[in-house]
Amino acid sequence: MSTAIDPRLVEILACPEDKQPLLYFEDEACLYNPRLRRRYPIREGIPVMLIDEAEAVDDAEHDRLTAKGGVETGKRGK
Amino acid sequence: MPLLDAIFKAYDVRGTYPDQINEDLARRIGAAFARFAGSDRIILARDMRPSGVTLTNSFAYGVTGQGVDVIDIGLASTDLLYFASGKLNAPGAMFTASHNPAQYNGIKLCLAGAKPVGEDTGLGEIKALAEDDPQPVEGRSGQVTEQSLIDAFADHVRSFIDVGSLRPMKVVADTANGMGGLVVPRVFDGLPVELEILFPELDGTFPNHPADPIQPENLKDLQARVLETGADIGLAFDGDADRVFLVDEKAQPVSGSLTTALVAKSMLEKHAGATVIHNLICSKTVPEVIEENGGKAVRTRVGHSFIKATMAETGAVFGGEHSGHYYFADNYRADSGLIAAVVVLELLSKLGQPLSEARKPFERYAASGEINTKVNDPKAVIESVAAHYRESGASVDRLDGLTVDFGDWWFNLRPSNTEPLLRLNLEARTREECDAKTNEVLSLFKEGS
Repeated sequence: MSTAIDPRLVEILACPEDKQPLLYFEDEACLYNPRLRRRYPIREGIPVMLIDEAEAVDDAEHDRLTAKGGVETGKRGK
Repeated sequence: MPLLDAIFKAYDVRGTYPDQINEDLARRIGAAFARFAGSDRIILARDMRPSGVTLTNSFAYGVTGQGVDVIDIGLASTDLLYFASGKLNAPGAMFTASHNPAQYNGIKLCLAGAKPVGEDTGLGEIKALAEDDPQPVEGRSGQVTEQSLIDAFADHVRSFIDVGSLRPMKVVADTANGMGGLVVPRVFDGLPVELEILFPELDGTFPNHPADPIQPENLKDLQARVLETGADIGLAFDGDADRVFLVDEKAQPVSGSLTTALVAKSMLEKHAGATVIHNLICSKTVPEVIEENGGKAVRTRVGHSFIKATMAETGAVFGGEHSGHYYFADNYRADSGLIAAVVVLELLSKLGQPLSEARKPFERYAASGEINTKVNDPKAVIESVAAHYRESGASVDRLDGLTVDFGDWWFNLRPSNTEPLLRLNLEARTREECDAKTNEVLSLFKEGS
């Protein structure tokens, strides 16, 4: 089953916590909030935008996701 | 909680996504509604707005956390959700912002049997529960199952008429990229109707025109297409397809009052001597037509909860509002633009007349339309207008705002629920008198405002 979600939905989707945009990784079936370092799963094509269901990620994973998403985020220590 | 104050309205929940309404609030409201409704299952539906996918998913998460099952009927019109709530006798939640622009979403809630939930009939309690952020209960979590009710709904809508009595007709429906695009073809399938749909694609960004047919500019595409195709009738639906406005074969719009009168006439042929409800903004034509056709006319305040409650009290068969909402006893007293539309098609078939002829006997008065005026203190303005007409010999009542009736002309002035706004509706025997009296009443607004 494809996990691709409607591009119009991706465009408006925001984190329910900080209400800001998310990075979408179709191949990993997830949406990522680089500000709060929180990953939202996409199950059966439906993004699960629940704070309780979101996964916190470590530094290495954060760096990997932001690099993959092409986002410039200030790394700690700079 | 200010977040919830902004989105809980008199009859529904509504706000912009994702700043006012978002997944976290949908989950809370789902849990709160499950606790409030006290049912073992809740029906869930959404319109085509892209944000509806994640919002309903989060709402379902909140519901199932309370040990309550979810029956997901998927994409639906609001009248389809009400039908499901009636048919399955379970509470329902419809994610829609009706005719509002793309960035909005919202929730219309009902209890089992499509019973309305408004500020005073549960919405206030649901809001208070949601503020507490109800946590999941111990034990079994609810299950989500999918069920399609659209075919049953289409059968139900057609059951209001004798399909065999319909003459072949050409119909253009403008569903404005709203949910009508899904339900209208299913209902007309099986009727001897050649149906053309304008803007059938479900697209919550509304790329063609706003899905609000009460605004005349949103009828222009439909009017042009009716003339081009020589259609018998044009139907304009709003975003969640519960409201309908009609256009006759000459492309002239039919007002909500006129449609109420047409449907009332037809319903009274099927239910001799029945009671029919109309809100107090409807033209005087409406109670006249009800009485002329042997029915009993009952006048109510504006708003679906008042109409539904009065229908329950009086056993009325039908109720209409000037705003394009038509309520049917056999539709769990819920409103459906599609049922009204097929009833009008049946009436035209029986009369053997085009709509432009069938409407003529009901065009008795000239109406101002709803005129909204911003004032500083709506209550004070209403009191000063009331004082002006106190000694005039007119009959005056306060059922909803202020109604002053001189027989040959009348008006109603009522405040908006949400804004410092007064809504004036006036009707008179002639256009000249209507315009003159409208100016007279509006000139009184200066005092006290």
